[in-house]
Amino acid sequence: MIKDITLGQYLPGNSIIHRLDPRTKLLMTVSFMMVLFILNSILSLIISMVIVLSCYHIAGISYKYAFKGIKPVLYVIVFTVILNVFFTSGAPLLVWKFITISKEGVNSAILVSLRVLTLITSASIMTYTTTPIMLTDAIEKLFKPLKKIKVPVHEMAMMMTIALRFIPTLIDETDKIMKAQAARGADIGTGNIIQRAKSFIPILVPLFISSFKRADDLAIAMESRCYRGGEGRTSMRVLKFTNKDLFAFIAFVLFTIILFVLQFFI
Amino acid sequence: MNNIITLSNVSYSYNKGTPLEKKALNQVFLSIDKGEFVAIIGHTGSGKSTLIQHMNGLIKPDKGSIIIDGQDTKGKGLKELRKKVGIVFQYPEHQLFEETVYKDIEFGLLKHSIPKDERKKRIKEIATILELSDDILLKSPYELSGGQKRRAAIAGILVLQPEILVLDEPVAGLDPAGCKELFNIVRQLHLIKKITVILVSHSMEIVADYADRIIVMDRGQIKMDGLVDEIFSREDELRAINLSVPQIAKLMQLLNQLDSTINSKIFTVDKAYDEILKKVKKNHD
Amino acid sequence: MKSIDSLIKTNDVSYVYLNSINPIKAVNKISLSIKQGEYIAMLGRNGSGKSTFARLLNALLLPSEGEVIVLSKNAANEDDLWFIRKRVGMIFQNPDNQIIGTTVEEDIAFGPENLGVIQQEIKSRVTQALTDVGILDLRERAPHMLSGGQKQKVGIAAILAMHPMCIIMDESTSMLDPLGREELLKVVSILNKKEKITIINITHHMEEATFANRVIIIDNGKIVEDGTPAEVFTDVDKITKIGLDVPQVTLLLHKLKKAGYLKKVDAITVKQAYERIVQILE
Repeated sequence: MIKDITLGQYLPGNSIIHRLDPRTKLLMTVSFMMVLFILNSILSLIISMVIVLSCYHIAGISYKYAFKGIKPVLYVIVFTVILNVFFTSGAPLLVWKFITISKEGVNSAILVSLRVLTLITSASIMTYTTTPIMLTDAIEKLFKPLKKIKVPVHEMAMMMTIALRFIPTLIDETDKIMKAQAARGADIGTGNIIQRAKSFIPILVPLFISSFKRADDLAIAMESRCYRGGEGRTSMRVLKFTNKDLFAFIAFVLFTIILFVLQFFI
Repeated sequence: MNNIITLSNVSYSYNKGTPLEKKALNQVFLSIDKGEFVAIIGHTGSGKSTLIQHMNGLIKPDKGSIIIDGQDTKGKGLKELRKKVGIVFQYPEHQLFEETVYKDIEFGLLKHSIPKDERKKRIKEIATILELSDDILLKSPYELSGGQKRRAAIAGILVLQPEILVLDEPVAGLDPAGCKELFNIVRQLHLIKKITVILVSHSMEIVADYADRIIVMDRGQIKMDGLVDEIFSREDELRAINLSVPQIAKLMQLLNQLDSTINSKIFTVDKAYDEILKKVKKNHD
Repeated sequence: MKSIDSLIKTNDVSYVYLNSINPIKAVNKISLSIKQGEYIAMLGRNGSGKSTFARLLNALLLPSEGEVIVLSKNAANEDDLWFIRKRVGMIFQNPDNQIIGTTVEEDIAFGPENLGVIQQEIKSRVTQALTDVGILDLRERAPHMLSGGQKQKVGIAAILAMHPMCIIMDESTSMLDPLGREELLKVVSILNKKEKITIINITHHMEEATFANRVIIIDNGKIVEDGTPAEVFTDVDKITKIGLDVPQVTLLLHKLKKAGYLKKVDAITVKQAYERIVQILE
């Protein structure tokens, strides 16, 4: 049933990684991803993977979760591996009839798949250890300078918060409407493609209508609680960099240097 | 009497196999006869809603079986079953989606491939019963008042001519006048068309006024099952599972403690009035 | 704070909805004075104008005619808007559509944050509000995991954190089950007694009027009854004509009165009715 979908990937915990400032985690994850794109030695990428997996260990999250995020993109990885192996020209490693596998091909296939795997597992560790709302906070704070050039940073963060708040409610509602229409004899998602598309109308229309009503209600509720935009607004949650964050940054920079040294000198 | 609904040993859990697993129904046995007016009461989370969703196969039991008019809900022919069992969910107006009320009522008929003339006839009939004028039928459902919307949505179920009508809190959010109107219609259908009615309600006063039999649910099980006067005379047991009895039932019990010749198994205003008058006249003699 | 006779005062207030083809006068010249510490039940059929009237009281709507004065400040004055909304808080019908935060704690902090309260104080206000409503244990829960009654309690706590003088409940019990309703009303009653917070409960559940010390009935945009619960419910014929119900026991006494056994109908609870009937029986 649609209700079983869990929202957000956050896995509660109290490890040092959980307790890092979300801005630290966000910045490090983004920088790490860039580093991964620059790295092109198999050894460096393997070490990167080891670093990411040790983060899972520190955070107390089972490795099973690390590979959960990979499943949906598995086909993409397999496809790129095949492309690389068979269609990269270079010194032939194996020749059978018209198929030639080159050394370069194998090499780049390993590089690409390692890179994608590390990318996904590293992004996942951030979402596993940070609540969506903390991430929203981090984004709002990090993008604050953009306010100067009239980017509505606060409004965008508020929209994200509201979306996070209402997604479970809307999932619940979809479930209810589906059942109500099914009780009248609607068969949802069966038949040919046109029939199938049509069968969603009795669900989508009520869902839209009720979402508008909710938006209306919510606006009134916010207004009655004195909401008037980001101006003069304080926040209960204050983000603060601590020694932990400093330590994490230093570790991150050190590892990055090691990775590059490995790549260029070995 | 012939049996129309039979549940034997039905169990059901939500989120099976996850840490959030919750047992919603636990070994439920229940049988309802054709033409009964049954009320299901119980506080939120007692399993009422899960129980009624089993009756048209929206939920299939993990264990046990449900037989509706000879048909197992786990078998084929769900669509036929859903025509036979009409469920009006809470706030049914949330399911309205067509451009006009007429088209919305027609939706179920089209899904069940009812021919055009028949559709027209049935919609006309149901609109008359639910006091939806031709004018209203041509309006968009979103232009109607709250009470009209509710009736339009219920018409969309009734037009399928169900043999069993299940109502989940049908008057939630309606004011007392709208509430009475709706229940009078339900009672009419029950008496004239002999529809079996299953009513889920929080209002003990409504249950007392309309139902013949009460099923009390608690933590996924049927705690009590009996005629209205029997159930309402067991106030202590009801209170133990956070349910109450109608005001009049409480009053009559107090009076009964004062004078044991006063009948305590009374729960409607009219009957209480008669009983008190009888007593007053006796005292004056 | 200096004592003020009336917390909220309305003078000939009207409100007209202009957005439909034929304008609807939802509120029609209502004059009313509400004192600090009162507990008012405001009853009326759907569409009677009671919700519109409530929205005029904290300046969510501005009157088409007449004026609304809250603590000597005119609600139509834009500078005083936030002062008024801070003092007169409101919870609504659908508990789902008024929770903004993704956790209970965040939602309660939303009001004080808007008022620019400093961080440390927000925390203590949140704790206090949660304690007053008795839901401290729900602090870190996600709203969609709560029951309807719990959600509405969060709504009350969210207003309390703004330090209000009045709480308006706009049909806030109508989507709750009896248990949730009872608990919410209990919490509100305590706030009224202990903190002297004025309560205005807009509802069409007659039983809820028994908690109030003043009942106002609105019909067609006008006040048709205003008095203590016992006074208002005496006129059973008038109330049923408006399309409202009276409690079962009141109806019973009304019948007994019609038959000549009682002089007046002045009971709304089982206990009161019991006393009256015992008198008849003797």
